[in-house]
Amino acid sequence: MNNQSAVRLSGVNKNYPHFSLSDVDLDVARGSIMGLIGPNGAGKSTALRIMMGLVRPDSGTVNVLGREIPSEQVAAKWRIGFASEDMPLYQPATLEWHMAFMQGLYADWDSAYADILVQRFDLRKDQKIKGMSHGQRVKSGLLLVLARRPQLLLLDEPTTGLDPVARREVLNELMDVLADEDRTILFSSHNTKDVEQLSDTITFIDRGRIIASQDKEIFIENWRRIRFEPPEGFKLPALAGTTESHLNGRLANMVTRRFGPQVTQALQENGATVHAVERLTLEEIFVAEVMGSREGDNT
Amino acid sequence: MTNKTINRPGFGVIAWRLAVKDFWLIRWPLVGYAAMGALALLFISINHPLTFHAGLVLMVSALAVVGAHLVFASMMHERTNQTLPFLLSLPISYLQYTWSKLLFTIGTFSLFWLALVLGIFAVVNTRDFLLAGMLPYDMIVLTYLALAFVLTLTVGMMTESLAWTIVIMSICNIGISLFMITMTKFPGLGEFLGEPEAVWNTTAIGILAIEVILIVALVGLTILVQSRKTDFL
Repeated sequence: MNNQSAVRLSGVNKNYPHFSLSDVDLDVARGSIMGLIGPNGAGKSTALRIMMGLVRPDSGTVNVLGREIPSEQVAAKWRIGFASEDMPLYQPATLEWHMAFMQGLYADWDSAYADILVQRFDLRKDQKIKGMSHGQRVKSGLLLVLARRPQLLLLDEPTTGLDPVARREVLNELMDVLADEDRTILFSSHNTKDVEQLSDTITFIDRGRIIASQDKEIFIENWRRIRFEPPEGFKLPALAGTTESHLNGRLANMVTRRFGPQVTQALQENGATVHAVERLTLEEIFVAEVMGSREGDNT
Repeated sequence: MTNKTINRPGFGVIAWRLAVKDFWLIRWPLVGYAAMGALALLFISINHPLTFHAGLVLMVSALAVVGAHLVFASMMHERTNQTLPFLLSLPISYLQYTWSKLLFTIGTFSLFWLALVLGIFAVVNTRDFLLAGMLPYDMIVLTYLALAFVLTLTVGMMTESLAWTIVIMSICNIGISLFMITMTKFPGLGEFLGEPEAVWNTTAIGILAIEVILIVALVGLTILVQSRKTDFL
């Protein structure tokens, strides 16, 4: 295990009757924030549950914060904060009761910080969970995790279903967490905007397979859409990394995942006039990666 | 790193806190069942056939209901209300979770059971019109209720199925009346019900021993099955 890794999955497989997580290799560096993006049913939650020891892989190794999972999950969980969108709290109890419950378990519970979070998240301690909105429940769950100041945060769809204000509050708080360089966040989402704002590393997962994983800036830098005007009888040159191309009369465009000067140069050498080179949004990159993976043409 | 200096509670402390949590969440129904049990003993202690039988029915019902509530409120609801992920995100393994649930549910049921057993002994020994010959029978019936509770609880834990839990609970509840009637006619037991002194013969002790062995075996089987599970959500 790399000492700089907070989470390391090697060759992890998990088979269900209608779904398989296949050969998952994942390395989350300490102090980083990784966004795990995938469509619904891609395997994000399964991967996170394997990291928590809640699901045992059929094969492969899992190491979290230097502990083997699932055998050393209890030792690891003391330093992991896990929150999931579908992780309700106890309905008849108040937020204050939950805070006291957590304080009783965790010696490193930070009461002052918990009170600050109550204010920042606009929550009421004396309110029962059953009387809260979805957003308040999600924020309450996050508060209970954050106030423990865990070294690793595993968050499964933390912003799903939140209104823009609540989402902003949550994202801001996660940014604050990273002020401590030793803390790590791995969060799953199908909302690429959240991931783009927060993450420094991005992993795409689809149909139980990791299809791409690298630094966010590298993703952004490598993907480009090129708009150009082809000459009569133009034939697109064979360029490694081309994921799609369209010819619409006199205007054409192509998308590449390996952009560099050689791409525009090759087009120009074939008589094309390049009009624009545009960056792709993370959502566009995500969709292209998934479609490419599904078509089996990810070269 | 700061975690090296933090004094973390052991599993015993965590299990206790989880049990206190469970108790708090169903504290008011438990108070109600305790009152129901006390009322049952009061009825039994009144020298009138109607109140005596009403007391017996109330006592059996109180134990059956407290068992059902413990199974559903502290365990099945953890799944149906989806609070299990929250619980399992805490620093416990699934086997430890199983232990904490067994300790809480069986411990709480045992308190009620013991209180009723002691109450029955006290009432029978202080009321002249109640015959001590019924005590072995009472103990066997009360232990049957404990067995039915443990069976429902352990089937619920092992199958994680609400449907199976309800099926087993229904069968056990239907079985109460049949069991009570069967025991009144059971050779070596039924004929001593009208005796002024309790007769703890090999039949009575044997039936009680079988019930206790089944309870222990069910708990052991549950621990074994739970320790072999690989997926908890």
